[in-house]
Amino acid sequence: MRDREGRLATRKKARKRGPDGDPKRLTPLGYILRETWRNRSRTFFSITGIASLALLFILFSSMDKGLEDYFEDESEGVPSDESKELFKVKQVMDDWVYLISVLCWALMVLVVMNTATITVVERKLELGSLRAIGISSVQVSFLVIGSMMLIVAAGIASGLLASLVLIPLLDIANLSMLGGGLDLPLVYDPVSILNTILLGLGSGALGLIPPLLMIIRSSPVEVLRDAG
Amino acid sequence: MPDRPLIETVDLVKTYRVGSSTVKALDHFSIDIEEGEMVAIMGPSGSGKTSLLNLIGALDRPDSGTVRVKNVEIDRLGEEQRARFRKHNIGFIFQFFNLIPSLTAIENVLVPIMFEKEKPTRKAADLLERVGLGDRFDHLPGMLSGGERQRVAIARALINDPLIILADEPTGNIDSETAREIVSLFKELNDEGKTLVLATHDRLVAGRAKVMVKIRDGRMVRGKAHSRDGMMSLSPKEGGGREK
Ligand SMILES: Nc1ncnc2c1ncn2[C@@H]1O[C@H](COP(=O)(O)OP(=O)(O)O)[C@@H](O)[C@H]1O
Ligand SMILES: [Mg+2]
Repeated sequence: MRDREGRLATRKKARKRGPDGDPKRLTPLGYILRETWRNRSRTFFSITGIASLALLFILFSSMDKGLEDYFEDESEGVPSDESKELFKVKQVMDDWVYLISVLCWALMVLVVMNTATITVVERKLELGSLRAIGISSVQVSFLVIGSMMLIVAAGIASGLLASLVLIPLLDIANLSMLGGGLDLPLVYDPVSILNTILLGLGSGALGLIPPLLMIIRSSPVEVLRDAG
Repeated sequence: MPDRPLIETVDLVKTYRVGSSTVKALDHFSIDIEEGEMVAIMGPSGSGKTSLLNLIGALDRPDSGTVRVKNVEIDRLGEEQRARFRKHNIGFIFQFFNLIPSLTAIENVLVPIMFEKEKPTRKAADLLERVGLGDRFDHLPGMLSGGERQRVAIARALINDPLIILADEPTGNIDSETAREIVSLFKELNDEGKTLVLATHDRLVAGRAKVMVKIRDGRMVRGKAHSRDGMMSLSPKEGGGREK
């Protein structure tokens, strides 16, 4: 990421190329964006999957946090009926919140892994050709990592954005369905935002391992041969 | 050190495992190619042409024997080193062009150097003009004809000023009229000093090469059969190689 300013400046210059100006440049990011756009329908599904999981995760985190705060704030005294009921919910939640988190994480790893693997398999010839003409397998891996990071970032961002709207709405609606008629408190916790981002990064890193191994292990010779 | 040929292979053996049996693609194949030569490797399908080009181009490693290019024993290089070697010394041209479908013609020419800081886009444009595609910069490969795609591939192969251009059946997928133009382009490049090695079974292509080498079952065979076709005689170097 060195020389970012300079690169941006030249890119701007390149864009308004005149009759004598330099033609467009090609950067790895430009290439990644182009490929992502070409596969936009699949990209869209992957982003949606990751966004839903992120949303689910942050929703449960907020419920957990909400219940925690509720019982923290409650002063001594005779617990109300509602508080008794909520305490039961909290006990259940305490077990579930971990399960749900692990599940979100595992599913997100799967989404990343599937998307990246399909990409690598589908673009086998393209990636093999890149290697044949001198792009190293490490650089090819960068291209795949970059495109997945783009998808994960978009998914997490959309999930968080959706939660920003959805959680206050659900809080107003009292979550009657989930809470069995109880006023289930939802508290939007900044820590859970951070956790969601970590969730994305973690699953991105883990899900990328198998497809990257595929790239490193595959020989461009075999790929070119299969194509011919 | 005495002057060595630009490309020198000695006793190359390359076998592939298919299930429990092995296929010998190259059988003690030796050839010297001098700088500035234009060599056509002719032979029927399955005779080992692609295997040979892959070894010369540092794409693959032999089971035994050595490949020396520019005095570097490339069969000893590791994966990453070979990638670097390919990038700077070899221009590859394939039968199926192998362009990146989502990138325009000019971007495809720039692909080999996209990770580099210096991006000589002007040069890419000049190369495209040079191969006759001055008005096709922003076309995607899908909008180009086979011959035009191959021209883009040639421009791409030239972007790093390689000494050596390796073309594997470069006209295998284009009509003969266009093939003629492509071959003329090769000839021009050769006149400018590039060393070309072409694998082909196209007589037209082979006929314009300075040196013709015939290969069969992974061995070099002398090209006597060719005079019968009235094609051409061998180069003064008798096929440019030495037989085992
Ligand atoms: N990856 C491979 N696996 C198995 N056999 C192979 C492989 N590559 C080449 N061969 C075999 O090696 C021989 C030479 O192949 P090749 O070098 O591609 O010849 P050509 O390019 O002249 O058609 C053929 O018999 C081919 O079937
Ligand atoms: Mg072949």
